Amino acid sequence: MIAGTGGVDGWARTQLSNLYGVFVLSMKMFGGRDAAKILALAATAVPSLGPCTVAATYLAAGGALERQPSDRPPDAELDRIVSQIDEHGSGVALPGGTWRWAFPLREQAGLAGCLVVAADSEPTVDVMFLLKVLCQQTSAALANAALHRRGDDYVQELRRSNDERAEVNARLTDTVDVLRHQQRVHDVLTREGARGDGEPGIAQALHELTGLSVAIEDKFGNLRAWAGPGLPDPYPKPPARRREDLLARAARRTSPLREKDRLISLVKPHHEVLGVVSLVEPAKTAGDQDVFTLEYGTTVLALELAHQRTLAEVELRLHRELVDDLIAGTDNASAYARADALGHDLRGTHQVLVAQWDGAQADSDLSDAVARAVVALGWKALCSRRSGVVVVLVAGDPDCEALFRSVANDLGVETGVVAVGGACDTPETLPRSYREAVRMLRIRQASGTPNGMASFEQLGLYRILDAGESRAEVTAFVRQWLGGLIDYDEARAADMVRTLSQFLECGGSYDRTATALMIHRSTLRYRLSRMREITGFDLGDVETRLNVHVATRAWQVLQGRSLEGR
Amino acid sequence: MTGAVFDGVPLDMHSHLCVFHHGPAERDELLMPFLADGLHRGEACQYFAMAGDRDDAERKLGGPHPRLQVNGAESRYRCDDGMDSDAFMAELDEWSGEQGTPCRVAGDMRWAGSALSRPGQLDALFRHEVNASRWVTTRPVYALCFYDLDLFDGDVIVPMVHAHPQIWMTGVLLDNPYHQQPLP
Repeated sequence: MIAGTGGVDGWARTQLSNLYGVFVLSMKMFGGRDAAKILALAATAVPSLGPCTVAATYLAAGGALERQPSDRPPDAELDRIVSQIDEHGSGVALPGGTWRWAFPLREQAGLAGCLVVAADSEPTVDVMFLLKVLCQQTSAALANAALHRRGDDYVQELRRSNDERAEVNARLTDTVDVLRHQQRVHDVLTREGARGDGEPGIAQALHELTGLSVAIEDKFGNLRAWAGPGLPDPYPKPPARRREDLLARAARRTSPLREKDRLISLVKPHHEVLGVVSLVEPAKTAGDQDVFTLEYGTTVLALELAHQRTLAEVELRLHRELVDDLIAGTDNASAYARADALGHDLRGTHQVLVAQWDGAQADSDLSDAVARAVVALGWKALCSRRSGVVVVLVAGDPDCEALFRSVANDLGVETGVVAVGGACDTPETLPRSYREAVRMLRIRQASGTPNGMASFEQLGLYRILDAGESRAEVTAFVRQWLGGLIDYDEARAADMVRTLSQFLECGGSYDRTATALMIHRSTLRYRLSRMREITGFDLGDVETRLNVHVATRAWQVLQGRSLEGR
Repeated sequence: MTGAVFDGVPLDMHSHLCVFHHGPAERDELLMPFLADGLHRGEACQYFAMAGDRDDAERKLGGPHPRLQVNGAESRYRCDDGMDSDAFMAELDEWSGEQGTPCRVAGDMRWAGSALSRPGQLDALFRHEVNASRWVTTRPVYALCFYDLDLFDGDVIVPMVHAHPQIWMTGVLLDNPYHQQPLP
């Protein structure tokens, strides 16, 4: 103990100064967080306050007081004193004269610990006062430390919560970024779809959104649109089998297929592949957002193409219905109004064309070829399809030979006929033009040259022979002059009538007739000899020759009529 | 011209402060402006630092200065493995008497505390501080004793409070009217 200067003043100065020291010490204790260190610090001050030492320190743990440090050996006497501690403390004077006292350290929640002080004899009241003040300050510091620990725990929990929130916020930020990107993709592609720039516009939009070059191909691999750098020249077209294999593999996936340096997505509305959209990425850098952009672009393109197809189908159906009604017969006012609605001016001269092809795989092949030819020729026309023939209603005086050539080139075969009906000035007369075209078609198909363009206007004698009103007389006329040969052909499966017809058409030339019929000249001579025996005709007689020639042409017309509605 | 200021608080001549601080950083924050101000005023300054801190302290004060002494006290003021307070105070007295100006003296008391584990050293330190309180009244001196709370416990804190007429702690300068009066 630090002694005072003696006397009442010295005692008071020492006591107050020590008390001041305890307060200063408590300031240090209040800065601590560790209960054991606070208790140890208090213990170091005890010898400064009087002739005392610290016998032991205890801290509450799990509802009991535990001696500090915990590795100290047990002391039954100390433990007994501590176990009897009350709010004032507990103590005992040991037989050897040693004095011990356990000072309780209390906080709001209860006993926080205790400080056991030992001395050779019981301390004075003044020293006890200082020790109690020290213990009170220690108790307050322990309570403060507990409070701080709870605060620290709360801060830790708050920090953990903040970390979790930051993590959630980071995920939300990522999600917002993704959504923003998707919104931009949606905006750009929707705007592009609304603008109606078709495949080039969508390819350009995809290129701007991804920064990658974009290729749009049809299902065969033909390039329809390209955006971005690096367009191959010439553009490679894969073999059909490899292309089909690629489409099959892509169709089995629910996400784009990576194929070499491309990310491929099928334009496939309603299970029908209309095309392929590819992101060209040699470095394979496309991420999730690029994949989303590609898929969205593919969807927009699919909608666009499906819409275009629907419009085309509706337009085609309306065209067909109008053509069907016009060739079936309708009034002028209605015809003009409906044609106007479809953007076709029916006023002025029109003609009806019919086309039929033997080599076409399907009716749609022929109708598509005719439609393409009409567009290529720049005709103002309406198209339809009925009973195996394609019907075209065309304005003006078109070059039908050019149409035949175009369709033949498209289909790859010339085994067809384009027949043209007579010109009409009003819609009401179009049924007549149609009938004429059909008759012309049948006549041409039954003729010796069954392929090519045939115009009713150029029919000449056939137009008289084909007049429906005199059919019975024409039939009788044919029977009169050719009945013997017709019966001969039917009985013996011969070809006398056609041979005779070709001979007359060739102006009596043996060579040209034999060539046209692809028979030997002697065969022709034999047939002509047999004809004279069967009919008794002398083809050298002008009158006879004219009647027989007319009869053969009428026979062709009748043959053609019999084919109608095939 | 006003007198010395410590941490923003004016000090009276002959002040003897016990400064309780936490760690070297807070010590330097308090001490360096105090000494630098003294040098700026042309006052003599002497700082008793731990040997390892001398160069650093001098550097922080702008390098060598004719009015500045930074000494390593822990080896110079030991006597028989204990503190030779009389020699310490005699040298200080001689030094301050030669300056002819107010003097600022500061000490990092770790040099004294390193020997406190030996019996009787705490009482020696107490007597030294009481002697210092008496000495400052005889010279135009401001004396600051820096005690690191991170190093010293209650056995030092309580008697050092008792020995000093003024205590600085946590930003507050307190007078201690009940400090131990020097023996006549």
